[in-house]
Amino acid sequence: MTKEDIINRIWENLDYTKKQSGDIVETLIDCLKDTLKSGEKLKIGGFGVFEVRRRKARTGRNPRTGEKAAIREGKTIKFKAGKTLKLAIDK
Amino acid sequence: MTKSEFIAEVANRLKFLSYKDAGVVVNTFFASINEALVNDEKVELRGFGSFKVKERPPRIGRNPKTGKTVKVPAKKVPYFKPGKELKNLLDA
Repeated sequence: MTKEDIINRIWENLDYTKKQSGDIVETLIDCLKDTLKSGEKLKIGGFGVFEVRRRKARTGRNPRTGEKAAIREGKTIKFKAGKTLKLAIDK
Repeated sequence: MTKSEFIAEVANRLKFLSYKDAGVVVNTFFASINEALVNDEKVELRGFGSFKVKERPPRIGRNPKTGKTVKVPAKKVPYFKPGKELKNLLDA
């Protein structure tokens, strides 16, 4: 499934034009990005929690060549699925 | 941030959406992702990241309190991989 499928779903089920549906989905994703960028935790009931976590610097390895590569310190996102979603998936 | 605050932010950014409408839209958005994942489908949102279901193989676990071994059955877990754009945004 891609963005386009979600746009279509909003367009077909709710009372918006195709253009508006597109704007809605883009804005939603922008809101998600901006929230996470600010470092804030985002809790969506019935779905899950997005959290920004610090990643320590470490030495990784290219799995294909076996070469060592430095992974620098940074931030990543941890998504933790909510109970409802977890149970629905692992049925 | 909670879902209701998130809904308010979405409503704030789109003039044609009332808070109530934004609520319906946000719920539809996450419900679409939920449904796709339940159907074992991958969800790819360009610029943000992708969601997919990963299979965990069965393994022999250990009860850390008693030291007894227990069989942990195989299971499916949802997984999110942030996209390049999102990663860069965080690390800027």
